[in-house]
Amino acid sequence: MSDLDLIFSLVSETLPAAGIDCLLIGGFAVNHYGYSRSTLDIDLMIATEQRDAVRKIMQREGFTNVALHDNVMFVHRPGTQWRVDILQVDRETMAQLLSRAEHGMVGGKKIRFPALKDLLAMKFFALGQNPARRMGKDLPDIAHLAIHHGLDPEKDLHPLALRFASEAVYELVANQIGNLRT
Amino acid sequence: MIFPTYSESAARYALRTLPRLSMDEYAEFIEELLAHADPVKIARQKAIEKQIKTPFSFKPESKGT
Repeated sequence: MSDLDLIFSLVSETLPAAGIDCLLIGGFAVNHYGYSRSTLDIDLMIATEQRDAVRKIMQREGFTNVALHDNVMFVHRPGTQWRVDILQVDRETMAQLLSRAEHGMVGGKKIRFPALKDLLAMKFFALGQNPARRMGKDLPDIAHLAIHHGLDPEKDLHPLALRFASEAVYELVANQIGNLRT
Repeated sequence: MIFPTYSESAARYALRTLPRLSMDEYAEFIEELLAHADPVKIARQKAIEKQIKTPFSFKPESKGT
């Protein structure tokens, strides 16, 4: 079993069997919605109170190098380049994300992804936290997904930007979409 | 005969993006990418992720700024 297959098994079988809900976010979720780009990590999302249980399972599965931070846990298997970033959200937010989640098949496993609008909300949130450092990834993600899904920047993206980031971030996104379309 | 139309801007956009990969193709692509990834780039990416001080939330007071 490859390292990626192990992660897909964890997300689709091992964690749910332990009562842990998990979403695959990041590059894989972006690809699920039609925009293929590179990534250097695998991003998962869990509810904060399940962090310790997830850590124990990941350690049991050979992810022995664990770094804990306020809102994210990094794990990787010794001797590999693989890093899994496990982002944490509060229980209510996780419940909302799960209620709208979509399923997709990866490596023969049924995986849950956040709904497109929720994924975009996360991207706006990340961009709003640090536009300078997140522009290389989250900005093109939003713009490409918006174009791919025929979203209207003003109607579909502006409210998300104001809710999770700022007017300035919306301007960045609208300009990026304009540049890609011309 | 009516030919399908494909706008010039759509064509230009398509040229600027990677081909769309199926999920399994994408997994293969990322597996290969990570097998040869530059550790410096990986560390840089990790540093960016560590800067997330506030978790994403649907709570009304939550905002990225």
